[in-house]
Amino acid sequence: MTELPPTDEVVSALKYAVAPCFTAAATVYLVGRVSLSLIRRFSGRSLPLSAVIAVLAVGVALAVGNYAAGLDRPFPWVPDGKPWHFAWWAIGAMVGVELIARIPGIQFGNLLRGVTAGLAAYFVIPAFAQSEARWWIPVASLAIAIVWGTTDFVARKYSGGSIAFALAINCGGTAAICLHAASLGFLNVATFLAAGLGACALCAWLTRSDAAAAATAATGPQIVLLLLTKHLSSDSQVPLDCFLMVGLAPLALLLLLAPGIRRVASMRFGGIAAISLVATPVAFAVLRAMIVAPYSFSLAQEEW
Amino acid sequence: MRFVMGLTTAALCCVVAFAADTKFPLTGENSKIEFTGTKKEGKHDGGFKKLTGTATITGIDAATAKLEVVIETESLWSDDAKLTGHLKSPDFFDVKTNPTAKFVSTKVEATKTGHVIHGDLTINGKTKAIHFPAAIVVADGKIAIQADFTIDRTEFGMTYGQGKIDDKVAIRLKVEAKS
Repeated sequence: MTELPPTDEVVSALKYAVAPCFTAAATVYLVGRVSLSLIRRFSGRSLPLSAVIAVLAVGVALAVGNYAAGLDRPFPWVPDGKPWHFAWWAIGAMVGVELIARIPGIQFGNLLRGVTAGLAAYFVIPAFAQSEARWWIPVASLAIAIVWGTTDFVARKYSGGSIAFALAINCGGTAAICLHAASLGFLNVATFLAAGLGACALCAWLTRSDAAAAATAATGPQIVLLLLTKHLSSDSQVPLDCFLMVGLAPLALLLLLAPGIRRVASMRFGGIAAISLVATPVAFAVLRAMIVAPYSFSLAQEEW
Repeated sequence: MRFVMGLTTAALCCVVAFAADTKFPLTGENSKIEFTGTKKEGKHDGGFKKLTGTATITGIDAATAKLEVVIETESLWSDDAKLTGHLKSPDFFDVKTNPTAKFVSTKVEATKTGHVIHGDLTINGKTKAIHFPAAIVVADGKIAIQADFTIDRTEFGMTYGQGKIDDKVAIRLKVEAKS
């Protein structure tokens, strides 16, 4: 069983990964909200751009996290020899597409998401895996598209910070799976996402606004990170079901729309229900990974 | 006259025989490639268990040596199981994407103290020209090569932990092969 990480590792992660991303996302979100308020006050026009601001905040959090990591950054800005470097562009494309899809009046959002899901799967799944099993690309494309579409569908019905917070927990689970698969670079990117979403959720609760679109922007990238970790970790003991439970956890949000639950969730418990529904499979998967593929932080086995 | 011609032919045959290439097969058993990664507070040792290749010598002149080694990166080991997993991950050797690393010598120079081997090292799909001092001894149908040198891991796409883990990695090479 994995023991808890030592304090200095937690402080280091908070300082170099969580804090920059959280601050960046919160700044973009709050500045965006204030700007919308000022426009409404002085021009009398209410611009429906809350969702765009939330997605932008997640995108900025990712970019700031990668920048703040300096030379230690997980992804080079320009692909440098390794095929998986293109995953960074795939992640960027997903956030960009979500940004476009959230612009009011855009009718072809789901078409864009579907095409991007297919392209992302093509670029992310390594050539050796594609030749071993031809079904990887269609299955991964479908999984990304379905989870992405589902999160978007539910997020449009449940405004506020809860869906973003639920996905922040989901990304935290992705980070934990990457850790147990000894894929520390991708763990950092999942942490950037979790921190950005956490900031959006907190800001949404504080300002009584809607950050659910931020969650939609993070679903594709986190599946990309899980796919990369699954395919490229050589000695990983983490079972496939752990990857599936974390990657598909947002599908549990569909239960919010089930007739019985919908009535309860539409009262005061919607947020708690959304968070619980996503957190349960994630917690189960992480616990299983901790037991099956323990990761040691002890000084006796200190890695470097 | 016939005697002289016969003697000349025999001598030529001997020269040709002496100058013929001798190939020494290299394997994980007769060749050790190990490395040491360092940081401020410590170090870790590792290496590769499986490799294939040849060392080719013309005559007995070590300066004619040609080396070609293919390393199976999946056979990487280290003094810490957790570290082994991380070294095989995309942050370092990315063994799933790049299952082999390769060294092909381009030139061997004789120096006052030994030899300098020049060649192309390919790790992570990146090829860099390197050279390093080595002791090469060819005798009794055997070749022995020993070398200690450093490479810059960042030149081969291994940038993880820059600033915390040293860029320079010490490499130790020891070959004792029979033809």
